[in-house]
Amino acid sequence: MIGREDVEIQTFADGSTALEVCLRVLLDTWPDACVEDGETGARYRSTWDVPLGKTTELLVYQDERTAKKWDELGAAPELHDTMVHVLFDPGYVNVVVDDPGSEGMSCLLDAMQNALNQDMFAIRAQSGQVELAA
Amino acid sequence: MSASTLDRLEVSIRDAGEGWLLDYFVPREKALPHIRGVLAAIEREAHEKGVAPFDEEVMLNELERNPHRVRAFFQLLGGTRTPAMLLMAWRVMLGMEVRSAKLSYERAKAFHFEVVLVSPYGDPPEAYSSENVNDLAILRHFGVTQIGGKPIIDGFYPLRTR
Repeated sequence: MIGREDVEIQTFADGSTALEVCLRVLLDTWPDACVEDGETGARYRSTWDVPLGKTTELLVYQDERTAKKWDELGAAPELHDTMVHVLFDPGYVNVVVDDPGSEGMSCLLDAMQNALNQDMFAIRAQSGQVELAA
Repeated sequence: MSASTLDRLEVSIRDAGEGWLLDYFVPREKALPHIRGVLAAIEREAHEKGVAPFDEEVMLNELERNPHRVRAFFQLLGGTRTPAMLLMAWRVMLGMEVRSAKLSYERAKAFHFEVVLVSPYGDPPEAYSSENVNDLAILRHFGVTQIGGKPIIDGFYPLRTR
């Protein structure tokens, strides 16, 4: 068994937005990723079928084969850095990885932080100030 | 009017916190018909491009599963003029990747915005363009990041309105 570490990233994004931001970053690196709803255990072949509005937790595996290996072996050394666990709580996202200092994970975590800290999530729009064209 | 007799689209817009889309339209009673007209234009655009069908029901069904996407789309309906650009945003929300974006502008002369999307599943690229400067509003909803120092434009997100 290997240990896993929590990395907390602050954000003003709401839950489903924050999960999508993280998911998109992970998909850029793992285009064949297998996504599991951490609350229901449901897995999705097409990552775009994941109902992000109904969960606060995702497990993102490198691919389907890796997900099956995790089922068999758990957090085994050979599965190092092949799954990322993303949990949302209001105000922050907790990203659980094997080694946040490894080159690959460090790059992913930086990208998530960059994406989650976009000003659009923090600046409150003045709703009602937009005029519609008839 | 009781909640049960309210229009589903209107209820969805208000429940999403985007009631301004209706309340600030002049005249107010034409807001929903106007929005439905825009949605119909997007539906026609999707049909002409041969991409996955879009209609009001498809959009509202997504609201329950992924409310942030539809909130962003409601906000876009308020500021974006060209149906092709709205369809482009919808396609990105559902998983298409932004391969390229080009913007050119000359004061009082020309505006051109062009986006090419690619599918993660190998479908042909899709090109969308606009000559209407009001469509610049769409830019504020794009998700951006850097991965390994390289620029990534990905996703459409709602602005905070509550």
